[in-house]
Amino acid sequence: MGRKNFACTLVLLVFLFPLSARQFGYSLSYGGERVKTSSYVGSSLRFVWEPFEWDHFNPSVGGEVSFGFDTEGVLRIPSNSIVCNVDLFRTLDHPFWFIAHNKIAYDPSIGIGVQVRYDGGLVRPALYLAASPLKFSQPDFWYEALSPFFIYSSEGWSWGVALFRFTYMFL
Amino acid sequence: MKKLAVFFCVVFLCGCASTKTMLEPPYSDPSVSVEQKLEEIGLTKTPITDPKVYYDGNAWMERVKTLVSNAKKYVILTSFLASDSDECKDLYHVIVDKANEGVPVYFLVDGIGLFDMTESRFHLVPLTYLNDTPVHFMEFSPMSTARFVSLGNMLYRYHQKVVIIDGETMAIGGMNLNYISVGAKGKDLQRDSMYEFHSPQAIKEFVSWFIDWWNSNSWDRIAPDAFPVDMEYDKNKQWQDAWFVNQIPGHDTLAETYGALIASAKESVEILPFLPALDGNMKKAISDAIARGVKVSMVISYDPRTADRWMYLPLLEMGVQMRLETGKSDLGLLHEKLMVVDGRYVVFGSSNFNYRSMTLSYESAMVLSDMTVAANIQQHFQTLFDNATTVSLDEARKWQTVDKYLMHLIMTVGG
Repeated sequence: MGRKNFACTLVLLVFLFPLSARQFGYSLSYGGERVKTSSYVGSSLRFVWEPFEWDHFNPSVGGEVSFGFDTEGVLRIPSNSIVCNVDLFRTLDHPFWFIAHNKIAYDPSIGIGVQVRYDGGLVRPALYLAASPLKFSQPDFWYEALSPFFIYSSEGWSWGVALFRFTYMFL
Repeated sequence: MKKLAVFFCVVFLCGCASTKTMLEPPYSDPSVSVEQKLEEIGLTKTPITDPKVYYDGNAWMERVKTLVSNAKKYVILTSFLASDSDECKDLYHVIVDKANEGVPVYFLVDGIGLFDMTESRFHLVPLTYLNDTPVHFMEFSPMSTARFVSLGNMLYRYHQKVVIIDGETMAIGGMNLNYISVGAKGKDLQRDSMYEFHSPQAIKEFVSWFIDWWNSNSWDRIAPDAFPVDMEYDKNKQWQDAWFVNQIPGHDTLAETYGALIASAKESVEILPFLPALDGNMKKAISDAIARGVKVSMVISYDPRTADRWMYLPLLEMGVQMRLETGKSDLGLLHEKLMVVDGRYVVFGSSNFNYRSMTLSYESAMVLSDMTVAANIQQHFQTLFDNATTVSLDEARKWQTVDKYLMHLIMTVGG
């Protein structure tokens, strides 16, 4: 598929699935990761597209850029990722209702994606697996805490934790 | 990192809106009729009955209690600052009782209400307890550290004050549902206005938008047919020409409406702006009107924060007939918002005549075309004007200080 066709398909998809009141958002997270050659503490910025609003297995897609300080205190961009997340279910009946003034849903998610890593001066692909066991959402805002992720590349397995991630769905 | 910083700046600036369309044709063209301009803006005629005006907050609270008590189908209440207090507890009991009866009650307030910096803060009981009642309650854009991720969108605030009962009665104006607006006595009670009327068209327009908007912000979803409107209600009453303005942040509707009316003025424009933080376009609209020979008058509230004093000199130099309330009487802060054009068009509702209301807030306003109603409201304005004092140019120059300019900047975006 050429670039033009790919872009047209994307635009068509956007207009064919206006099933969610707010479909586009961005998130900011803070956390750390441990890889074989180094460790990073920093943030990541993710753009999110959530075309549906299903109560079960609700999918979303995100493109993410990470930036963080390595063990030598140098600011780097360790990776870029494209991640597909699925909210396993959404319920308003949960014990954490007190964290927000408005009604808030509990919708834990899992994710799988591909990552491009820039550690050690090399560019290499990696498999990205993530979970958000503490994900809470309102239609315009998502709150996630203590979300672990695992990365598999030619270096083997590594891991990290997003201490928190806040997503604002602006459109 | 530089690219990232530029990106965030672009996102932030894209969220900021301008009032420049208020100076553009056809709105700025004095030869185009007001009706044509309003149609061009996209406003549809929403005829209303003669509005009953409430200038006393205590009387308005009693009226809301009666309206809610008598509701049979549904109640919609929206407010910028809303909080419970000893003085307002009967009002909130009535609201909760109505919801307990099984009548759907929807209550929308702005999330900044908990940070109310007025006298209400000494009496404030947060409304979050309504979540434990059958009232459908929502705070718009709650103020929290996490929410600052939404950047400039935090500046968008919900400033509408709307009451809708059973799809038959509607009220809009400047009164919040908190201590200083409706609960306090004496000097603590703000002076303001609420306009109650019937208008199936305006109600239909508002509830259609409200359902979609609520559903995109809350999991507590409203069915599309939840708020029926009887379009034949009071069919035999006398209706006045009116246009309902439902202002959404980032849109030009309200700025264009004000621009259209000011540009069409031939004789007079009377304004109660509340916090007059005007940008260049708004000032130009006023100065163009004065240049055409229109008499523009304003009464500025006596705000102890003196946040509005910086604007006094530029407005005075433009030729606006300015009066400042003295603050020495036993009367409370003048919180009223109003504009009357040529003794014919009255603009009432929640919108202040300032940059924030034109661009950054949800506002509801009604443009009413009726000379009898306008004459009564002009009389009300004249009383306020006569009781306020003039300020000399020299005195106004003394207010051109750095601290007042900073207050002015804060007020421009913060309100």
